Amino acid sequence: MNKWPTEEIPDTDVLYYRIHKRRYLETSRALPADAPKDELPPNLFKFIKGDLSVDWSKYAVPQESKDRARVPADNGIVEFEAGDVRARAHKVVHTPEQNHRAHSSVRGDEPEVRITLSRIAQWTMGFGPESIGL
Amino acid sequence: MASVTVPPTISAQMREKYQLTSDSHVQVVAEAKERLLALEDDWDGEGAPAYREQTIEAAAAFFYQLVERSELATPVRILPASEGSIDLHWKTARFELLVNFHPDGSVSYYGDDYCENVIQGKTCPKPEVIACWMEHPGE
Repeated sequence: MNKWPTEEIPDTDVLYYRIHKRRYLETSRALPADAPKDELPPNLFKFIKGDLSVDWSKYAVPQESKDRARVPADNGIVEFEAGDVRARAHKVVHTPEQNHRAHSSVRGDEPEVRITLSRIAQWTMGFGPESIGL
Repeated sequence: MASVTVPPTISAQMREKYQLTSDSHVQVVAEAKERLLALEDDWDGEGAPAYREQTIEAAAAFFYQLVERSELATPVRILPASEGSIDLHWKTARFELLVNFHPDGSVSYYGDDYCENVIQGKTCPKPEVIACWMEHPGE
């Protein structure tokens, strides 16, 4: 049984999302040469069974989100505000897990949510275009 | 203009079916196919499944039908998405459109003109409808 209560995430709070280096590199290879170097195409945002998993800044910092990966060094972290997601009529809900109180979910029409996130997310930690040789 | 060699990964059957006239479109798909099929299970370190040829073929078939109807469909991005699905993504100054093809055959899409004019659905869109929308996204 989950020991953490479910809370309401304020609009002004930040959510962290982890992106694996290989996914970023494979995406970058497919982009046109004139694509902006800081672009985050929608395929970088990965839905599993209708949910996109994020970490709520109330219970996590970017380094903790990164450390949850199998190989933390292979991952970068982007961030966005809950209110910016909700402004497009998508849902942001706290979905804590036994050993992961920060766990939260973004839900909504998948292609639309992914385009939204690609427009509002910003790199906050980890590899950038320079560090992976692009 | 330099000639483009059509890679052998595109079947003659598909070329005939869609009466392709542009080798450059075939080249775009062939390169994407090669990239995507090279991604093995767990390629992203987070359990992502490998991509199936039939998913790529479904996306390619839609792309071929679309480019016959609109030149605006040409600069497509063919990208690896969630759970073995494939994205066709267009991002231009006038519109952004995402069509997502899943391994189970389901398709969903969303596009807008960066304002309030939206096109979206949970079935495979008709190429002629998408082509028309690409030409006039804000109307």
